[in-house]
Amino acid sequence: MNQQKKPISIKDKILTDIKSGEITMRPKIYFTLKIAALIVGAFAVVAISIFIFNFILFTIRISGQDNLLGFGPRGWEVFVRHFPWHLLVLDIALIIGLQWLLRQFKFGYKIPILYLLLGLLCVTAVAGFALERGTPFNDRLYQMRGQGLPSPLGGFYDRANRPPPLGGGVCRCTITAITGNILTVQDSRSTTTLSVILPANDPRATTTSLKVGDIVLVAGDQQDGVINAFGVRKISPDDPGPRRFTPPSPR
Amino acid sequence: MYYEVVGQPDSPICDEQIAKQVQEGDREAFGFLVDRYQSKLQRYGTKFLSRKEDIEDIVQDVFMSAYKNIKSFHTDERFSPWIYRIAHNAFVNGLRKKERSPLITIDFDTLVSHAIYEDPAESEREQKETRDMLDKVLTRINPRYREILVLHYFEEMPYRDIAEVLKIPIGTVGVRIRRAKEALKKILTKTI
Repeated sequence: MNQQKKPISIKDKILTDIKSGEITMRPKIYFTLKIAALIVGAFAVVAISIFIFNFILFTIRISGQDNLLGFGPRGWEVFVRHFPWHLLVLDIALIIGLQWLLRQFKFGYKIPILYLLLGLLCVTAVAGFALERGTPFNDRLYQMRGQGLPSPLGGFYDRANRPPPLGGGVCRCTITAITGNILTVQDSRSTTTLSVILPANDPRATTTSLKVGDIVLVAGDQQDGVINAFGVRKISPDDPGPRRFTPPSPR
Repeated sequence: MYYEVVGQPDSPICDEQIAKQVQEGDREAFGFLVDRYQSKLQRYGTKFLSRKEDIEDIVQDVFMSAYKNIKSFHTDERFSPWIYRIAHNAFVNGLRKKERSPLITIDFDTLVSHAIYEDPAESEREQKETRDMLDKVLTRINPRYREILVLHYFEEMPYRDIAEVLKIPIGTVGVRIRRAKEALKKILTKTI
């Protein structure tokens, strides 16, 4: 007798698999831990993102690059050229990742992506700004940089005060001689001695406040060992520059 | 078929209560959820895939996944968008495998907010017309539009549930349905 086999229904197959233990329910703790991991991950990304934004501001301050903004349109151009774009790109990538993490939660996908991204950018930027300008966080870590800061923090602060690359229209130099409105300087990136001609039309660019041994940030066009400067600012090697909002000192 | 409350044979219980019983260890009860959703999900699958075997395999995977993850379901929420969400992911993955479409696409409709507008004036006749149009050219519509039209016109889901299934802001649902209908009309005009 040719008996035709009745096909097993989806319901029967699933119930059989459930009863045989082939399919098992994941315990509640699995989902609780998953959500906890997502929350921890999201907080970690927020913290890293705030740190990077704060570090961008710090590296601009400590390397004296913020002085370039006072050198007029050409100073802005050089500032933009030497901006640590790689850190900003990394920060934005983290925020995009964070946005993806938050979209795993109900409140995350209810908010349009652009608003969520802009909101996260604003929050991390404001928090990073407050951390850099309102606390001595970076200055302390910068002072500790030679004393075994854990990686990758150590690497960050070791490279925080990097001079701008050679030939980039800006140099950090030590004054070796002053003759009229011409400075003889030594470039900190090499042993090259350069002559700096101060801009004639900048009343603040005088040699009166400068002395031999001062470190200056010079922006200008370099040719044959002579820099026709469009901006010169004295920077101190020990003081990384004023924080705009210094926290009140305890009485 | 209704799953009944013990001792009260005529009172059907909702999906969420059955899900709760499954969570508490009543494995048999899961069969009632399969009964309630199998044909719905198979019909949903036909809007994505054409081979019956592929659809059945995916529906089976959906139920398996639903059982494995049932403890992640909050019984104070609705079960239907939850299981459709699992099915949606499974069918979209199945479709991607078939069509080799890119894994990541930018959905500009989800970038900014849109006013929530659910067309109350759309008559039963208009809905039927759209369903008929959709049936004719379904496979030729962009999958992003296809899924939302299917959920709205075939599964008759409100915008709120569609937003949960597709994980998009509720305002985007209305905008996308409008665009999908425009795309549908364009395809039909070209066909004629």
